Amino acid sequence: MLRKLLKYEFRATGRTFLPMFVAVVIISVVSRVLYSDNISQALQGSSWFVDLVYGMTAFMYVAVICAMFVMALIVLIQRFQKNLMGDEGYLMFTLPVRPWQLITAKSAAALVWSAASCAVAMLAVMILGSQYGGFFEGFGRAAESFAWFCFEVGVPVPLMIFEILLIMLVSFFSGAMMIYASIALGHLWPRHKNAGAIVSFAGLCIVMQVITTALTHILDSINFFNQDYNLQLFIWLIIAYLLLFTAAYFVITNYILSHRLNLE
Amino acid sequence: MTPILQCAALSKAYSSKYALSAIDLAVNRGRIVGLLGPNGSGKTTLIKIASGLLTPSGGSILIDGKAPGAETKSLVSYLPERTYLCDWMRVNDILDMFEDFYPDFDKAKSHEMLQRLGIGQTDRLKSMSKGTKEKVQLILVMSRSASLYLLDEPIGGVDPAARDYILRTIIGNYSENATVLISTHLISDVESTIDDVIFIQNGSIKLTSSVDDIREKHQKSVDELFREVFVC
Amino acid sequence: MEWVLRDDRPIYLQLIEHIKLRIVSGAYPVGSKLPAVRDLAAEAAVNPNTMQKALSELERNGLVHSQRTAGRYITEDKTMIDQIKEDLAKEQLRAFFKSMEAIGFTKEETMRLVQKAAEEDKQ
Repeated sequence: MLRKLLKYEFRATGRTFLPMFVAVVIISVVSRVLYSDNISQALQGSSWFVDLVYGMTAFMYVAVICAMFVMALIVLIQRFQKNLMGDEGYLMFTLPVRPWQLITAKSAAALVWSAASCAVAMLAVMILGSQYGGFFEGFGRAAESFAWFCFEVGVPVPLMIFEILLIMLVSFFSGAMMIYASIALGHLWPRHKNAGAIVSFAGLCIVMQVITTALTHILDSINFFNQDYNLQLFIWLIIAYLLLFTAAYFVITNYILSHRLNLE
Repeated sequence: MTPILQCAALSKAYSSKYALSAIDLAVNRGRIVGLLGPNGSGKTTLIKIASGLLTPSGGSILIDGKAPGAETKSLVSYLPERTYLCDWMRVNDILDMFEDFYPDFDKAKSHEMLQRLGIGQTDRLKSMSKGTKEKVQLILVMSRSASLYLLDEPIGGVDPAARDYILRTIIGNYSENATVLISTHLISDVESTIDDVIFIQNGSIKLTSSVDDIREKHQKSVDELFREVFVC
Repeated sequence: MEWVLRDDRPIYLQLIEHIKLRIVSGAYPVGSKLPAVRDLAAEAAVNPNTMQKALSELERNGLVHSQRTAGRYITEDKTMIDQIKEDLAKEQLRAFFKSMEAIGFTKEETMRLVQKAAEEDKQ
C-alpha cells in the first residue's frame, strides 16, 4: 500500500518538479555559454539589448534555483493541506490505507524532491562554474580543509560525511513532521483551520525552543559542556534529539488523522 | 449473519448542535435501503461517519462488526455528494488508481459504463463539467464489488435520463452479498428501487420500515407518507 | 407490454398482477421459461428483492415453478391459467358494472350499450 501511495504521490508532484529541473539545467547551460570567455568578450557591451539579455540570464539563473527550493516547501505543505485535508481527502481517506501510511508517503516523496532539488542546484553550479580554472581548485582546497578537520577531531572522513547527511535527513523530517502536525492541529478548529495551523506552528516552535533552552541550561549546570569536547557524542545527541521531536510530531499527526478526523 | 451496518447510540456534535443524536440502527445484508430525510437531517453526517471521514462524538458504529478503519474501507464503496477527483488526472489515471488500491475493482466494467455514457478514457478530469465528474465518480463506485455501497445524494443534481440510468445501474449491480444505502430527498424517484426506508430528521431516526409495509399499512406511497411525517 | 407501477400499493403485489396478466394473455407462453430475476427486475426497474418476493408468491400459488438451478418456468396447467383468466375477466366486469351503476345505468341498459359499442367497434 505504501508503495502504491508513493507511486501516485510522485505522479502528482513530478509534473511540477521535473519541468523545473529541466528549466534549471537549460538556464545553467545558457548561462554557461553566454558567460564563457570567448562569447562574453565578444558580446558584452555591444548593445543595451545584449546587456539586458545577460542581466536577465543571470537573474533567471538565481531565480529558478531559488524557485526550486521554494517550490519544494510549497509542495510539502500543499500536498498535505490540499490532498489530505481538502476535497481530495474524500478519496484519500476512503482508500483502504492507514493514516501513518499517508503521512509517510507524503514526507518520503517530499524528501526525495528536496534532495533532488539540492542535486540539481549543485549540478547548476557545476555547469556554470566548471569553466573557471579556480573552480575545481577551490573544491580541492575545501575538501582538504574538511579532511584536516576530521583528522583533528578524530573522526574518519566517511563517518563524518555519514553523520552530516544523517543530521540533514533528520532535520528535514523533523521540519516536515512539524508542518504536518501544525496542519493537523489546525484541523481541530472547525472554522479556522488555516489560522489554526499557523498558530499551531508558532506554538510548536515556541515549545521546541523552550524545551531546547531548558535542556541546555540543565546540561550546562552539570558542566556537560566543559568536558573534553566530544564531537561525536554531541552529534549523536543532536540526532537523537531531532528524532525525538520528529517522532512526537508524527504521533500527534497520526493520532489526529486516526481519531479526530472531521473532513468538511 | 451480522448486519453489515450497526449503530448504537451514535452521536455527532458540532459546537453545541447535534447533527446526530443517539442513533440506533441495524442494516442487514442484501438490502437496498433508502436513507430519507430533509436537507440537514443528518444523512450525510451518518454516511461520512460510516466511511471514516468523521469521528463520532459518542456511541459506536460497526461495519461488518468492525470499527471504521482500513479493513472496513476495503468493504465500503462511498460516493460523496462532492467531487473528490484530482485535477491533474485523466480518466485512465483514476481507473488505474482504483484498480491499484481496490482488489474488487472491475476495470472492464468501468470501461463499458464510460463508453455507455460517452466519456473518453483519455479525457482530462480538469476539463469536465460537474455533471460528468459526478458520473465518473458513480462509475468508479459501481465498478467495485463492495459489501456496502454508501451513495450520498446520487441523483440530486442530475437530469432525469441520467437519474434513470443511475437507478438502473444500482438495480443491475445488485447482489445478495451487497447492501446499498442511498441517501436522498427525491423519494418518488427511488421508491421502486429500494427495499427498506429509514426516515431521519434533525439527527434522529423517525421511522424504519420496508417500502411494501408502508404501502400496505398506510395505503399511500412512501413519498406521500414522507410529506405527512415531515410537514414543515 | 410496459410495466406500469402505481405508487400507493405495494410493488410486489402489482408485479404479481402484471406477471399473471402476461401469463394469461400468452405473452409468457404456457410452460415457457421465465427470464432471470435480475433481468425481470431490470426490465421493470424495480428492486430484485421485490421481484423475488413476487415470484415466490406466484410459486406458492402454483402458477410458476422452479426447476432447482435451471430457473423458473410457467406452469403447464392450462386449466389453472384459464381459471385465472376468467377470474381476471370477472374482476374487470365487476368493476365495470359498478362504474356504470355509479353513472346511473341499469344492468340491462349497460348490456345494450356494450352490444352497440362492440358493433361500432367492428366497423
